[in-house]
Amino acid sequence: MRRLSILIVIVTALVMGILSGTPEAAAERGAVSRVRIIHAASGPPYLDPRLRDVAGELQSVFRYTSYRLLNEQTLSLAFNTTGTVPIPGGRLLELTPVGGRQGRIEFRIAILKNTVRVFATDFRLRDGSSITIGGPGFEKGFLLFNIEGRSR
Amino acid sequence: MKKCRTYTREMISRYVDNELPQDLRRDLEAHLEICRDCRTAVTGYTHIDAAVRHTLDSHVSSMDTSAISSTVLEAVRKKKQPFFRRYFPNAMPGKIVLQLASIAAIVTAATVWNQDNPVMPAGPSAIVTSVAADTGSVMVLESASGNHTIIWYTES
Repeated sequence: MRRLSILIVIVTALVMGILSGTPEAAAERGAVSRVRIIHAASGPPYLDPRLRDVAGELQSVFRYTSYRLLNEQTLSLAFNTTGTVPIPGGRLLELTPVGGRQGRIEFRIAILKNTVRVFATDFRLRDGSSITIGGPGFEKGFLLFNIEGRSR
Repeated sequence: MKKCRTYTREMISRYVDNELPQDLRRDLEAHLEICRDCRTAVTGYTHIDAAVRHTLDSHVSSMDTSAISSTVLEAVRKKKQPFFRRYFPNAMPGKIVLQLASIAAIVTAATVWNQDNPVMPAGPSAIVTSVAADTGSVMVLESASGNHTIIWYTES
């Protein structure tokens, strides 16, 4: 009887191990995304302390002297569900985690301006890392959207 | 005739069965030279012993010893066989339960570990697979220090 119990435990463990690695199990997962809306401008030097982790990367590419965090929002989304983040200037950022594999999370991003889609991109983000999307002009500067993703 | 009480019947029986120590055996044999009663007892035990041996021999010779042997061996084998070997005599080696348990634990732990702690891939922080803008231009940049991916687009 004791050996039969051991056998049942082994079979259960194997089935759990196999199922936890299947696409069906992965499909139930998702991503936690942090979206930071940054205003970058040339002017009096300023660095928002909440941007220290990404400031070095931005300053190595851009020549702006001021980086100010306008808004920050964290979204916990299952794969293939869309979350939205409002952006200044009548814009809206749509974020959809599509899936995850090989240590990267696939995202689909769209930026709408007055309900019109003006930009869209798909990318595979390294789990726990971030990407910055920028370009829209705003108040004598530009808007940057720093999107960090982590599988949940 | 008076019964001899020098040696008990048990000792005489042991003498017949050749189970007495050498010194006691010598003493009893010396006694047999002079004691008729004990000689009679020895003769009686010897006849009984011979009769028993003869009966046993006749029974054993009529038995199918190979069948008995195989039956006994099979019973011993079943008794000694582990759980899996009894039901999977060809497929399962010894200590298979422990081995399977170890493998199951390792596979499960590795699967859970890989899902919660994926191996960090090298390269840029993000691999851009597609971009679409209504007008203007799009640039994909990567910082030199931390491989941080930046997408820059211009609106109309």
